[in-house]
Amino acid sequence: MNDPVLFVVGGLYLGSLIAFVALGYSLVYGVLRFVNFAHGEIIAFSGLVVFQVKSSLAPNCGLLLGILIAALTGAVCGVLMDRLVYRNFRGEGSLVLLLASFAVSMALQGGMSAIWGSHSRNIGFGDPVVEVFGTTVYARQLWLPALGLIGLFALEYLLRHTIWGLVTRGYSSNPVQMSSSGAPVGRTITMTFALSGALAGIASVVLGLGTGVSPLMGFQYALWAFAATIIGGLGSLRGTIIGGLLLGMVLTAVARFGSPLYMDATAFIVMTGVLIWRPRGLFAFLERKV
Amino acid sequence: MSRKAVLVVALVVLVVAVAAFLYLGQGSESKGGTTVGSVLILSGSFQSYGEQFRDGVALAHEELREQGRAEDIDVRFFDSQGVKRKAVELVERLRQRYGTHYLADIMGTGLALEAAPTINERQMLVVSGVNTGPELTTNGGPYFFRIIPSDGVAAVEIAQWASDLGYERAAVVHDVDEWAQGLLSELKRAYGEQGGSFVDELECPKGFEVFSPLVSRVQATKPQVVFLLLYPREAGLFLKEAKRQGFEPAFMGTDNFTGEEVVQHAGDAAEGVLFVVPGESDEKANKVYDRFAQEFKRKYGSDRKPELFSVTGYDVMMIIADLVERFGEDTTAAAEYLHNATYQGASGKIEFDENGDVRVDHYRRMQFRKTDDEIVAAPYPM
Repeated sequence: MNDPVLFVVGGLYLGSLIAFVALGYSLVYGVLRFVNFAHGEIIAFSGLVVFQVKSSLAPNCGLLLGILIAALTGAVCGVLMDRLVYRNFRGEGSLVLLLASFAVSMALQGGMSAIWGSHSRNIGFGDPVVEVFGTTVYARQLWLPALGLIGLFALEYLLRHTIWGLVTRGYSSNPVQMSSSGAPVGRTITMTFALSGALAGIASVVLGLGTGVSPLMGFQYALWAFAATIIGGLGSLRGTIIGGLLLGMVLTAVARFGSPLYMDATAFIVMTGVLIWRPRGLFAFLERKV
Repeated sequence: MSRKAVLVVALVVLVVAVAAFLYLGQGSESKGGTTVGSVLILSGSFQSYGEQFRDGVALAHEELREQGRAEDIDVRFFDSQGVKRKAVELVERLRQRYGTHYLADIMGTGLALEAAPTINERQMLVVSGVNTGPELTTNGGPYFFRIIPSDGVAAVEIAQWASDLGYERAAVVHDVDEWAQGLLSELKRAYGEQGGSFVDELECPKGFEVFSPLVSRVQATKPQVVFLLLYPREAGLFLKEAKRQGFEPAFMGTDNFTGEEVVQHAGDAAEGVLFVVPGESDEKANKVYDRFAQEFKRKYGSDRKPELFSVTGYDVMMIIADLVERFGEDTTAAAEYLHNATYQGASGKIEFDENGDVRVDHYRRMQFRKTDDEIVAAPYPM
């Protein structure tokens, strides 16, 4: 047992998970200026679909395939959410979209509970461990932060070098002008929801490996991710990642040296402090804004 | 009509349809016969426990009907959502609208305590198969009975067992709800009386996600035994993380470890865990259980093993049906009868003491053991 190594690895892992979920928030916020509160349900739905595939359709399905299925499910779920609900309220303002996302969240949660029940289930993949400085850690605790960084650089590349990125940035700055310019705004928004959903899907498998899958599995992380997004800077990809990592370390310290009961309160106290001190987020100055 | 208008109309239709479904699902007013109410938690994080109990009650009801009994008994399940005020309202509604005299549980110790004045004032007899809070022994009132032992008894059993094994330094990781708080307070008292001391006490709420720092913290206090007063998922995940960190004291729990969920989440890490369950194992009890288990698999699928609360739900419904047959609406006579009655249920022999608590003659000491390919609960070798 090596407490400092466990603490650091555990904190970075928690932070990476929060950051992964928060990136999805940030992407959608960056384009449409609203926080999609149904993001946590995309996580749960993707995880449950992978569980179903693994348990009844393809028991031999490996972890990598599971992650791909989850990413695809999350992407489709995100796109459908936009097409069926949010698109109808575009132009009605952020508040209407926010309320719609609450409704979607509750409907999905109820639907998933009706189909799968509220039990937490083992997702079915192995959870291998490796040795780091004489301490046993889960392999996912090492590859998730790396995957998070790759995700960040990939998103930055896409924003800088693709038409999607160009239109996203344009729409984010001036939606009216961008819409009337003939740019493929609709497709860009669809792509944004797909990417955001895919990130949630990947997070769902990692979460499932750790603590199982259930209709409520995304709720806790969605809350923390929301706080991390505000702390890092809404719409700022780098800020979101750093905000997530920072919050992960703080929450791990609270659980280790304080009480698990204070974790949520701590996240929101920090978030409120940041909102008062720096309303745009601690790391909003770091570019890549969506 | 615009696309937006179509969406709004569709939403309104959906809301009206759901409301109508919920209203009709609760049925019309009683048309003769006896309505047995069951106020459970059927949504949120305790949904699965409510569903387990409901399935046991429904199975017993079906079986009784097939036997030509309970044909005039109607069972209605309601979801309190874990809200105390709502539970009381549902009890009131059951009485006023359906003339209900018998309740197959008001799930949740806190909810049952909140509803206790109402049920006693209206002489509604409750038989509970879920609530283990010690406060119900004294505050449940004369019409409250339960077939699952109070946590006070379970706490004494695991404290005694830990002491028998020579463990004097303990840590406890517990949930924060009324069930865990009641059990914790009884355990502290019982373990203290055995000469044991607690080196750490740590909260871990239901739905908790981050176990690594918790295990590190408990490990640092070097306990000989860790009492896990947690729900199955959290207990399983704590054990899994403890194994990963090489933390290997004795782990002990109560009947919260029955069912498959602990092992499902802990995997091999559940091996060696000690826990106590109420009940006896005579042949007659096994026969009732065997029939129940067979019918349970027929109704709910062979891949589902009967959970503890399904077993108690089944027994609760059987007892209530017997009381209805014997005493009709006279719940005062039924309550008096219960104090002297003996039932042979799927959960074992059921007798009640003067407080309406089930008499517990025997607790089984169990341990998770690894067989060729799975972890199973087996009697602890004496």
